[in-house]
Amino acid sequence: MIHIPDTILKRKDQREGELQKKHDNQPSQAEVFRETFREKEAEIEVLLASIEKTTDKLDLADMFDRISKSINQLNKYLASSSIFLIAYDIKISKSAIQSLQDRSVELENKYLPRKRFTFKNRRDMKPARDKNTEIDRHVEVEKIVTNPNAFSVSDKTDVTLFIDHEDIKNKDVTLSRLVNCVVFIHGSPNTLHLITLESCRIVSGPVVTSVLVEDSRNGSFAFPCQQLRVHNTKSTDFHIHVTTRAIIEDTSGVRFGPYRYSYDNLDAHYEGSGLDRERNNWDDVDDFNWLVNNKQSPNWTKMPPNDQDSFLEELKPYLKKNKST
Amino acid sequence: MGFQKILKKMKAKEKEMRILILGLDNAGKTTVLKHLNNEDTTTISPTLGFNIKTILYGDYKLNMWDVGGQKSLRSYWKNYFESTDGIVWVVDSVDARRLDDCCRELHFLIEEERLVGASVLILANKADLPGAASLEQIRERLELDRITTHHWKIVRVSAMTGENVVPAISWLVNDISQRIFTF
Repeated sequence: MIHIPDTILKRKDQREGELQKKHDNQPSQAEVFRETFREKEAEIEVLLASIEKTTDKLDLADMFDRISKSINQLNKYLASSSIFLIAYDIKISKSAIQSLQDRSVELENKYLPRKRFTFKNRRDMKPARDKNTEIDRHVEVEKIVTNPNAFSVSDKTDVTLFIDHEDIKNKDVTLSRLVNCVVFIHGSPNTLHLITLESCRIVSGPVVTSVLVEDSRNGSFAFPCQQLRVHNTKSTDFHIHVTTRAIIEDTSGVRFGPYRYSYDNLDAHYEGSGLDRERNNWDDVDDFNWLVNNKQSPNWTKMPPNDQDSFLEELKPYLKKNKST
Repeated sequence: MGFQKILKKMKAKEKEMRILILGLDNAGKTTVLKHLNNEDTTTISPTLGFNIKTILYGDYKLNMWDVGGQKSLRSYWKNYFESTDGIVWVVDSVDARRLDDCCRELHFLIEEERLVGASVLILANKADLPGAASLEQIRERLELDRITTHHWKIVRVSAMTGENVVPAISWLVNDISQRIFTF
């Protein structure tokens, strides 16, 4: 038996007592979390507020980087604390983080718009290409030499075009920089790109894979396809059959209706395209600028049936003219 | 007993890799992921948000994150950068018009400080389509030779037919494992 001196035992009791006392006075883990979270949140708020006063681009980029790092840290802190937090705390903290993130993204778009950059670049490129095609005023179709599978029509005003299946079978069709044109594609292309079209009516047979619409205004387009992506487009009607889903981005005032156009070989072309005629999700549109669940995006609407009818009526005179020539 | 369990857990954790699949919209990121997971690739809609799949490859557990590539989602990519071991950059070889956009977005990632040390696999996708650009053309247009800070490799694949996808991923896994698991 080892003899422990009383003084040491006494010291032990005293120490344990102190520890117990400390423990009783200590705030709970959840309280600590709330306190720290609030502090961090305030720090980020300060950073966000100081953005408005910063003008230097490099400084801004640096600040946004710091903000995103802090938000990330906060997220991590919440994740690791979730073991001892009650559901309500987690919910509140989550929405606080979300609102910080939303504001940071909003400010970043406002003060450091990366998207604008893209736009400028593309605009810069265009005139260079325009020079080559400027002389060409014919209603003929140009084919890009570098890609034997591309079929493209560009830089036309006030023309009507009929394109046959043989011309575009399995090809990647691009229609670009057209103004006030009407184009009938009675065939089944592999992909269809509609870029920078102004007041155009475009009708196509089944597109085997995807359709991309960009930078267009005041148009009416009709086609069946697997996927449809619409970017940067305004006031345009879509008459579509889409077997997966259509999406819109940076787009407003667009309307969607089902594809009701038909021509002689449509059935055969449908068959060749492998599209499922039974499945049409024309009214199930994802708006990438409207990520609110269960709320209809203000950027697109369904088209009333009589407007669908009048679109088909509008096409008739062009079709008649084509038959008579 | 408890200690042994922890050791086991740590070991399992060590063999995990975090891989980000990124690229412009319509490049075929989700198709790559679905193909690796043996799922149907014909019913894919443009990705709103992200997909995550854990795939077992040999001894490794790959956590694959496929984040949507639409312009409005690209600003969220940075939220996924932390502790990433590898990047799969998917390119639509047919979409020559947007290769410049593609180049800019890729080099933006390369300069990202949180991605330093990640291996970069570039998939020139849709190689089965007749209009696909050649490997050389893509390498030039994407200015890949400017990348000196990361291990990288470019491979022609078709996620739709599955051609070359698995060998390409195995390069990535090997490259990462040589870097981080040196037993």
